Amino acid sequence: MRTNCQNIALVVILLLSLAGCMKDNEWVKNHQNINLLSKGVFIINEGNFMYGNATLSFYDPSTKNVQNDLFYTINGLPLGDVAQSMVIHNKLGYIVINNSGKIYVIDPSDGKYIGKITGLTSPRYIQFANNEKAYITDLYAGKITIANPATLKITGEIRTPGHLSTEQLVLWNDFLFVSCWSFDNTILVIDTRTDMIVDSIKTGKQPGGLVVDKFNKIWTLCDGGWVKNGINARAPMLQRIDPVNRSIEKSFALTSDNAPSRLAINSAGDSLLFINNGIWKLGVTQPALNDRPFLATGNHLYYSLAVDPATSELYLSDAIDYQQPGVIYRYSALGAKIDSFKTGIIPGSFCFK
Amino acid sequence: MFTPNPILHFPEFNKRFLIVALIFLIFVIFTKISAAQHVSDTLRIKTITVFTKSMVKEEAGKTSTRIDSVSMINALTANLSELISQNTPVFIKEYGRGAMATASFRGTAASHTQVSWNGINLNSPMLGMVDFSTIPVYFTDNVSLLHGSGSLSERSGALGGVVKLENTTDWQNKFSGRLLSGIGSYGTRDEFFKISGGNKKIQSQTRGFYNYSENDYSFVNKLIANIDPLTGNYLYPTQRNVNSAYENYGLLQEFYLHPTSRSILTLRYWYQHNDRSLPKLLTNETDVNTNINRQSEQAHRPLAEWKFYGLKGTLNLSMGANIQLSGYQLKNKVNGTADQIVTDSHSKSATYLLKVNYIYQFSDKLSLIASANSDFNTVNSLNSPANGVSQGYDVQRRDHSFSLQLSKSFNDRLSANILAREDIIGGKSTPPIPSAGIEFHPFSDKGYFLKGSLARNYHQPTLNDLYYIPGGNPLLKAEEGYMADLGTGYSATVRNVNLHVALNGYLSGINNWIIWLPTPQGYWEPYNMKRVNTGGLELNGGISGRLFSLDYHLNGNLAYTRSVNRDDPRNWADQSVGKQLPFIPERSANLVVNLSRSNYHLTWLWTYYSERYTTTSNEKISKFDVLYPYFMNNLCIGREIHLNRTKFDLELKILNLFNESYRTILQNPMPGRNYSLLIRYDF
Repeated sequence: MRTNCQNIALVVILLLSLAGCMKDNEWVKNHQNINLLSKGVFIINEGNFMYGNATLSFYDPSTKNVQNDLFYTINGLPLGDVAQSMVIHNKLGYIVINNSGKIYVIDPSDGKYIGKITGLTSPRYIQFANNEKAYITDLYAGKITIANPATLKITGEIRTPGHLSTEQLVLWNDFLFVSCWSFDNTILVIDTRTDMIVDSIKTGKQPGGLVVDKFNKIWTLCDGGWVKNGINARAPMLQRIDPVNRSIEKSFALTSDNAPSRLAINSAGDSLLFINNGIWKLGVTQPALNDRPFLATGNHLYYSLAVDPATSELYLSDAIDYQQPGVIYRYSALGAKIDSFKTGIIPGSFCFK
Repeated sequence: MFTPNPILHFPEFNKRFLIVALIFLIFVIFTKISAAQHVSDTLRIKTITVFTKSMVKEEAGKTSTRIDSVSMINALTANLSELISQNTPVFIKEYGRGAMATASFRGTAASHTQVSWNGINLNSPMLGMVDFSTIPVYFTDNVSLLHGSGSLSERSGALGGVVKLENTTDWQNKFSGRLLSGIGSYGTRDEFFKISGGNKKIQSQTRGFYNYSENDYSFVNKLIANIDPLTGNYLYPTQRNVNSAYENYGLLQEFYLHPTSRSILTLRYWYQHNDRSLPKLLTNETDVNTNINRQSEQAHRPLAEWKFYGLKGTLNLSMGANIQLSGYQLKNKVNGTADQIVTDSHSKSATYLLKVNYIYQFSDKLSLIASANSDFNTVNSLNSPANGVSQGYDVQRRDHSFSLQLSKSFNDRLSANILAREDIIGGKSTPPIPSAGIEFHPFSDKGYFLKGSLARNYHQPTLNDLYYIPGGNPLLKAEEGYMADLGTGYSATVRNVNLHVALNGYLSGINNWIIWLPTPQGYWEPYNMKRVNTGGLELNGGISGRLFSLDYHLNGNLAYTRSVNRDDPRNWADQSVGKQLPFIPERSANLVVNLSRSNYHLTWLWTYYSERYTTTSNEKISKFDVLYPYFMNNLCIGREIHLNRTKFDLELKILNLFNESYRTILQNPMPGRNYSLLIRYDF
């Protein structure tokens, strides 16, 4: 009898020992102040699509100190799914979270979350016209959303009929030039005084990046579409736009083996940089592309680049295999390696403070 | 600086896992001793998991697990993912309640687990994998697993193993039936029926099911927060799991005929429809009119099988098809405009198969099995992306496979078999696929056994791997695996107590492992990794018997799984080499405890997975680089009522007994404690 009771007791003990104790709350909640963020660069790590593991890093070039997973560490909240871009305006940082449909607003001095713009569809980039008006592009909405940065409320929209996807934007005088990327070949021109589309420019296939050079010319990088999709792909090209006449002035054909990406310009506005199986550099007055890249790819998987507007130093991200924390390489303007450091998964964009 | 790890290493189990393992083993031994004191008790629960049965030369050396009838009955209203995760060492990756569930068998990928239903391979030739959440346990009578090299007797390509689903009939049956009706939390309804009738010449079985759930459970979302303007504190919203309803229904008709005393003709047809929406991620704060999606799938599975029993040989001919029609649409509603279609994809994938299998017994000690399969695979896939031109592929591929297995029983303690298989995939021959197994019972007590096997295996790229647009890579090589198994165990019935315990170890090296990764262009593309090594231990044990008037039945599994990337590092910073593949737990365990007395019964189901990395480098830089360990407890209490020749069974199921907030993947909430009430009527 006693043995049987022992058996039953043992079963009960066994079962209780197997009781659950998952720690979802502890896993989520974690607030921790950090040292003030000095001058440096925010790195926006996209994370994996549908994983919701985007993160924010900060790098101080003077101390070479890097702080990873900043947003979560400070705020106890994940950044979201696919962090796309970040802009600092009027002493606030705006982080666009593409597949979470929102823009987080942080204080760039300490990383604290102070607000958000929600209710977007698939936001990509934000451009400020002034302190009370910002334009937000969208991959799948067929419109540009207008928001008030002072109130963080959506105040309007600009429909883009025939253009489901709107991508990067640059402000040129009172006009906003917006690239329509996904399966498109158009740059829209919007008058920010009326918020009306006043013109459009046909470009190469899938115009993405937009920058303005020192001559006030606009450059765009067209990736040509999916290389392996022979029916729809076109030759990628780099194009210069005259924003006055709103026409293509010059086109540079690029090799079609790789989709070129990440157009950037140096602080002087006289040299363009982009990724196309290596890092390519082109002077804005140069008549033709160089024979070889500025920096060879080697065994890196260069995913993104940016130029420090203060120093023209080059920041390159290597996503490695897209499923582990990536690496940032910092180069001088002349291409000498200065530093390298790890960040988060798929470091996709940079924001200099 | 990167330092390579050993090919396979087995770090210390964590303390908790070790304690549980010890308790489990001690309990098995302890109860055996105790049971010996109760000579007069009779066995109420007759069916137990038989991990190894008396030696069958054709199965010598193979590791198999058969899910016992107690677990099958307990999971009648469940889907295959729940049954497998609660009763076997296979890890099921669930994407949420009612959402897709895929299997990782011995640390391999979802496409390395093949599911066969009465000989038909249910893996889609397009995707290669099976969504276990769509297969109702109610439509099968027997579920068993063939681990690793043991799968080669069925077919090649199952680098992890095969899940075998089989249907049977009762030739003595005249007329019987079963009705099940259930209601559950979150607007869940379950309806099942089975009608069987016939005589010794012909039997018919008709089964149907309908399953619907609003699936709109509420939860506090702590991955987003508003800031209280007065206090500055976070306000976490309470949300509902909207846009995640699912509806499934299906019909299975079977005819079993005895045209002659030596032959059986079986005709089966399985139709199923699955429809579901996928909820937004927890961090999603888009407009309410976005991410409106629907995923639907229809499956038609006709099958004809003819078995002829000769004096020394058995011939089995079968032909059938597995046709799957799938559709997925994602759209956003933008005010004042037509719906913005983001993705609209449709596909039809089908496998038409012909299979011949002949077993010839030269004597009790020697047999030969010859088999030939011919599959015609066809996929038509069309994807219409937003703003884009529709694109897709339409491809057919003929796959043939031939095998010979020679099995020899040397005496009543030693058996062995060898198998050679040859595949011709799309007109190209693969190198020979051999396997060999041996089993030895060293003692006069036949309950003890030692066994081992060696095999080579190939897994072909799926048609999506090769041709999907964008990203399909026609240059992909087949995955090639070498695998070795070594196992020992004991099973016995001692004074009405059934006991079994088995320990199995395995090693496998898989070259050219196929993995899909993003590209800078934004789409995903598959490529061959150089090598993945897997290895591990599987411990299975169970005991059943009677204490006083209480029938008890326990069955448990512990698994230790290493699945290690052995690719070349991409550069100095690549930390993935030597690391566990993402989402595969190193340790997993489950336990089923079934107790019954008089007409009452209680079942406790416990499942555990250790932490799972979400990155290839296994680093813990961010909280999201690892999923915390998973513990789940479910309880089922029931009572049977007998009325004349009919039987009612009333069951209450309590799922997530301890009302835990948890996630099985990073961003999908899972429900808290929830209930279902089920009435079963057998006549």
